[in-house]
Amino acid sequence: MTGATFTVVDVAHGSCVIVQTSTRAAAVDAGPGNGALLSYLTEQRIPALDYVLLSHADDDHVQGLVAVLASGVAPVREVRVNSDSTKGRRWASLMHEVERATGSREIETFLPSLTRPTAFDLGDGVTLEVLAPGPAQSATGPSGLSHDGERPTSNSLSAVVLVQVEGQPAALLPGDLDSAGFEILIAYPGIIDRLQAPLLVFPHHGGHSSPTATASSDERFAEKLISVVCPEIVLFSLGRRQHGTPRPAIVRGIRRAAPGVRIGCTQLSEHCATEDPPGEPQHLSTVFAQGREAGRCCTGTVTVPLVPAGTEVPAPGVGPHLGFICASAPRALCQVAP
Amino acid sequence: MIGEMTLVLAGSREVSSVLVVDDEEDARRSYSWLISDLDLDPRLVDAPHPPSLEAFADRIPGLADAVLCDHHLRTHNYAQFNGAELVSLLYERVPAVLCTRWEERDIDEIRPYLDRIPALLRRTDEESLRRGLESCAREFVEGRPPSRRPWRTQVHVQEVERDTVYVNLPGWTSLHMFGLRHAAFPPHVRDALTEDLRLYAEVNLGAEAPEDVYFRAWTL
Repeated sequence: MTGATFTVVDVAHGSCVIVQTSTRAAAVDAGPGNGALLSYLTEQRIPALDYVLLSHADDDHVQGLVAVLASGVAPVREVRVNSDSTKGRRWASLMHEVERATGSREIETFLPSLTRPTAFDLGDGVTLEVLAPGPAQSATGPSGLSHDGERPTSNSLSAVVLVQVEGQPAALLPGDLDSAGFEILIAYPGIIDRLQAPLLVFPHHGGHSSPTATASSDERFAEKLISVVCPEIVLFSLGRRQHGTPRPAIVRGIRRAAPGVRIGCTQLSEHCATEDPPGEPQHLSTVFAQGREAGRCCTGTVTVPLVPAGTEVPAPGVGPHLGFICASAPRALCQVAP
Repeated sequence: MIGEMTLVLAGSREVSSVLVVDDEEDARRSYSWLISDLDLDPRLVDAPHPPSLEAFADRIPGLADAVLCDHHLRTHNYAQFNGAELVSLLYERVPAVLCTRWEERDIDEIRPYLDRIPALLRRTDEESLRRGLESCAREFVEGRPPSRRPWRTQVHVQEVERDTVYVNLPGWTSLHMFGLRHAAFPPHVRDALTEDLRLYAEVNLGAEAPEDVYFRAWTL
């Protein structure tokens, strides 16, 4: 056992994963601008972030860093981001904070790219390895090239980060990777065999797999992704009633590829229960979760120990969480047989 | 009707009477029915006495266990202050909920006091009142919930007009433009306000709606 942990923070609609070892902490994406990451860092007494890796430039992945840098709650030593200046005013605000923090030497390293091959050592045998995008893709930028008739967006260039423990895969974080980005990724020699991981945070919160996606193309994308990654656990980081995620077709595709996989969502999808659960949630851990105050959590924030492949880890859909689903969302997507 | 029940808030705070402060007599009467429906004792204020804000606020803990207060109190010279000023002065002393008609002008007027107003009522029904009082009592005991916790954050000035400064919050979910009066800023910040300035304030970034956002502790 390394004592290291992997936490999918319930930030509502958005994404933020904290990987923590005995000596270092990293955030892969920073969530939206709702103070969730600040609350989590404060509550968990995480004094600094050694690395913040922003998979791509969407607000729901980067705005939390604006808040962290401005707050002074936890210094950030290194920031890497797949840049997209077309994101407008919000992007300019992030760059303002980055420049200020770099000028005051709070941030030691800022690089506007997060590409293969790059790896970050967190100690205790834990590393974060960037599998996508490739440098050529990143240098071309979003909307600059096409694949199968689709024009890639910043989602296509989303960083795909593999969390490893002692050289073994533990979790795959594909950001908002879409179908075009996924096809480019698996076409790269030798990569497809490196995408297997026991835990997958599903890309784009379980939303559409491309700007022109249909239910059937979403289902095919999910089925293919799961067939490649072969996860035991799939987590969706989502906000209840915010963007209709996860799409039922995505969950169908997952089930078709892996009928026994455990599925969990940080917040309760409106596809699983239209009515809000009554009363205060009893099934959640005490760890901060953005949805707790308004009673929107399903799994809430999920923390799993980072252990080598083959070791059993706590899964969603069992114990108190299963009790909550049976009581509040008996028709939940995760409970539907394939 | 005299209330016979006691409402227990935040596990230990007992409320059996609620003071009603509103400049409209009909509204006071209607609030009294609402309070009676909760089996609590409504105590109507026909005219705040003593008339000064601080003196009246100091007297309230001896008059009732909780307060239901409308924001508009100056009509017909009912009071020399507005509801937001009164309710914010009662922070951590008496559970007090503020009612408003929810017009944008009201929200702009209330916002400077909002960090000390745990419950702003959008609807006045039994459940909203009970929940509002519970929120107050709980905040007094447990501290602010995530939706009301202040964080130092970047504020981006978009436009400076004669009466109003329009800003947005890059670290917050929405690109909403907040209209703040010049008086909301301390003098050293007010003098520096220009378009495109980025400055800092403590803001409850966990707020879900613009009407719940407060600003305080401004710095350049």
